[in-house]
Amino acid sequence: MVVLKDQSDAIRKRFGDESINRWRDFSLVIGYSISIDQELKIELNPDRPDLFSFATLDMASKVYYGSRAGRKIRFTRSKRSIYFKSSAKRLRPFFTVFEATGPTIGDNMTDLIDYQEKLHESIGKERKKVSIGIHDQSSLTFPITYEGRESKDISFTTYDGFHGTAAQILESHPRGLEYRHLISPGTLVPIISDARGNVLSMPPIVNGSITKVESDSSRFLIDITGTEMRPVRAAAWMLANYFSSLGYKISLPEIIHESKEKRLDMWKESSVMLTSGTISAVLGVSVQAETAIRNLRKMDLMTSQGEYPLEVSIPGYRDDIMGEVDVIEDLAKSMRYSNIPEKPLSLPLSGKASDVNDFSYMLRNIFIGSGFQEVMTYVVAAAGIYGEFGLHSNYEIMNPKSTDFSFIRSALYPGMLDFLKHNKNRSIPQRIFEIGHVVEEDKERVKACLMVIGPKANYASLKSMADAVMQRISGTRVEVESASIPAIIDGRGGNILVNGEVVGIIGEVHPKHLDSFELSFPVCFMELNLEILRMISGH
Amino acid sequence: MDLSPGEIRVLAFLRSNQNRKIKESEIRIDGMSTREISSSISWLEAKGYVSTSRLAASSWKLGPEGMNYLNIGLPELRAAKLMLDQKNISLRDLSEKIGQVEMKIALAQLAKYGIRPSSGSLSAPSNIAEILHKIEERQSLLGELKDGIDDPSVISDLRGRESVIQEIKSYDRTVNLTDMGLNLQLEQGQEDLLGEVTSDMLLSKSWQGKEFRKYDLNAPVENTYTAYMHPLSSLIQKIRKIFLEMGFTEMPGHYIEYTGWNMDALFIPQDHPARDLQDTFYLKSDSKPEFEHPEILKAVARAHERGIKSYRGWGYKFNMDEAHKLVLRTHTTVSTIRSLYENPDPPVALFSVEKVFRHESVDWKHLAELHQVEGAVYSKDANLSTLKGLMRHFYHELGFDDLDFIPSYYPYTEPSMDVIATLNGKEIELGGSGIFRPEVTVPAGLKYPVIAWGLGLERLAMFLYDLKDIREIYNSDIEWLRHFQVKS
Repeated sequence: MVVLKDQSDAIRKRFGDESINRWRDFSLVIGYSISIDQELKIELNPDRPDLFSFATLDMASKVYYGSRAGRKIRFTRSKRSIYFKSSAKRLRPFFTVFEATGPTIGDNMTDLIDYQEKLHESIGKERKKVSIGIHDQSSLTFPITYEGRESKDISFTTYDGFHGTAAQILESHPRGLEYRHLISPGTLVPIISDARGNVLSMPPIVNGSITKVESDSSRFLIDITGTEMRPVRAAAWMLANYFSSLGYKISLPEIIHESKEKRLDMWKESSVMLTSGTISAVLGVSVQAETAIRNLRKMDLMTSQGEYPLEVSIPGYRDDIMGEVDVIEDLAKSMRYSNIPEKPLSLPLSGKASDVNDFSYMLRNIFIGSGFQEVMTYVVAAAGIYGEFGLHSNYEIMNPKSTDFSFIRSALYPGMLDFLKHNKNRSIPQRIFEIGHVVEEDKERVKACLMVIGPKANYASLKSMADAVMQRISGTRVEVESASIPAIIDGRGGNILVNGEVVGIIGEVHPKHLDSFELSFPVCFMELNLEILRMISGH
Repeated sequence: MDLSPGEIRVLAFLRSNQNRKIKESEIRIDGMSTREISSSISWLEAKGYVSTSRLAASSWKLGPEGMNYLNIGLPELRAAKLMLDQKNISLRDLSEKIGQVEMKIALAQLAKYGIRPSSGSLSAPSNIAEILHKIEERQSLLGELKDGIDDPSVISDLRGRESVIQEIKSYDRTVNLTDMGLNLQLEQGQEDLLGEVTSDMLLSKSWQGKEFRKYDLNAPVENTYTAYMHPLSSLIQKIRKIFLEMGFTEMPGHYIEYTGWNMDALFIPQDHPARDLQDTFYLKSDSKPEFEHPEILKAVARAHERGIKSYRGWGYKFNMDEAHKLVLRTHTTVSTIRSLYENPDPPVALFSVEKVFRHESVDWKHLAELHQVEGAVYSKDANLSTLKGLMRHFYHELGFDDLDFIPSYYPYTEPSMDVIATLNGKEIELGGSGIFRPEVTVPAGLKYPVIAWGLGLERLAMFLYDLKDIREIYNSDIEWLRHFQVKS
């Protein structure tokens, strides 16, 4: 989720009194959440970075409700030019710029900087794929050059007053330290500078001080550089859309490429063909062409006129649209999900349950019938409570969040002892069971564990339970073969055998373990392997 | 108010007594143990027929030395007898005859009668016979003490001699008959009413012609703990039943998955934040589980790189290593896409209620593992209208009728929809749903759309059971498990 927030009063001042109510209704169209108090807070899904600012969200809502006509950004050609050198192309290969001219940025300054940061984080992948430089154009001299420079030879003052060579900035400036791993190894760094040699920026690290944006700035130059074409294009469009939403005129300087490679025009719109067949297949209702055209226009998507198929123009800031179904979702949103009919889905099928799960519910009935209460414990739990029994896992969690949740359980009984510890002050006896998955060696298995704590929790009582359970499910009794199990007192437990096959373990827990789980009454348990049990029982 | 036979007998005893006040320890009723009498008194008090006040009491019995003296005589007795016989006896002789320690005791006790040694010997005073008589009385007291006595005046001579006599402190109650108890109309023959039905009673048919005592039907009773399923099991059972009745098949799955299935097959881009270490548990292992149907990766890679048909794809170079990382599954949608790949003949309806894992810090509203309810339908009729219809049906069966359908976003569905329910004035986000993207269905060899939806079970349980802390579901208080009200 992406969060936008500001003081409600400040929002009303900038966007008008009715803006908040409009945004609230629009939230049901787009599907974001909005909470309105002294502070206004909007939480958006990650698929629409073009709406991650108040300015663009406001414009989208105005277009939807028709107070602003659906519009295209009008790009004009600028007479100014920018040199894009091959030395820069090798470092950070995708590059574009645009100019935005209009009112002073004033109160929207914070919103603009926030938007830039949100784009850096989302489509920019922390500036790896895209970085954005926003400059006050008034103090620079064209033409501008984007090139690779020796990091020891070029020096400048950063926007926050640090002066030094590019190499020193990478070594010592906080932004240098944070982002220098994104620069290709070598001595060259990407530099954008003006005709007088003033450095505008060293992407994706830091801007220079000469073109620093202030709240009275009104003429902007925006540079976008990156490692992939698509996100660079999307970011450029999203910022152009931002300025356009605030009434700025967008003009495109001529980029003079040194390289002769084939290149795509970043500012060209793409299109998607929309057919009535796909619409009814996806929505389950047919939509008249006229209705589709009107509703898509409300979503700021312009279409061809007339009948299907419709050609839908996709502005570059709608990077989320990958094909026809994405346009159809926008159509459904515009029509509102609540207006899509609800239709029954007839399924000429008969349900089938999983045998293992049916078997486990049968076991539950037997255990509950014997007075055992079902509990559930964590699958991912503290490694310590398993290590104490010599249990290990073939799968190690590489990035545990904490030691309490760091181990994939390979048996049920340690977690259940932990459960008893948690309930050590509750009345005894406590008779509990769990049925759950464990990962043992390299196989995932379903196990059942029964455990009793109380003055009479001894081997005989659990052995009696084992006999009773087995009698129910397979008509036989069990045999127990002595085995050395770290949890169990030597000679008071072992492997449970049915027809000579090991189905589980049983025994009295050794006092040294009771001690470490802070338990002051005897505990006895058995743990059974459900797959083997099921095989033996023929269920 | 109904009285038990024991209470009636105790009350009758109290009323037959001259005094309205009596010590509990003095009440003797044939066939009733002191414990039964005591319990009946407590009930009578609760019902207002008697009042009681506690009193501390002491009794005495012989200690180990006393038992010895009972047999061989008190030291002072033995010394006095020797003095009566010999008139004069040296301390050395005395010590030899009765022992060193006993001699000291004898001297201390005889001193109370004015007999003191001089020049290393004891001389008998003129009233020695009288003194001897007193000491003999004291000796005979030992015999009485053998059975225990509670009159402090009797033992005054022996007091302070701790190993000879021992004090036993006990608590007693005085029982006062209240006016209510005095005036209660005891039904004629109520004592003869039958109590508990016993086997003897049945075999001998002694119940014939008699009446049964009526019980106080709301008297306090002991706790019974019923064993039951865990609340989640109970919910899962209900949900499985709903799915099975709707014609869905329960599908298999496993905790440990390759990212190729868990993410790539669902068109989650390889640089998606959900694949970060902050969102997913990655696993390291020496043993490599089988990668099921590895051939699908080719078609999946193509969908990521170039898209399918008119869909543009992610446009990057697909990284096969990235598809071969092991994770704890982050959703059971991975089971859905793999099951459909294995069974691509429509219509197919699948479900599971199984555990998934999230790289969350565990707190009152987050768990690192939770049960995901997963449902999916593969059919030519799978679309947004039938998805809404299906959600209406499914959630109605679960008890939710006031639903809102809100647009949402999931990387593998388009359109995507969240279902929000209102129940008893409270809103709950039930879960996400949508129609699989073509980039998911086409590489899996599916020719029709797939409806899929998911729901977190623990959040639902938290809502239904009004839990304040989601951890309570796993780190449960057994008292809650013993008493929770079953919701299905």
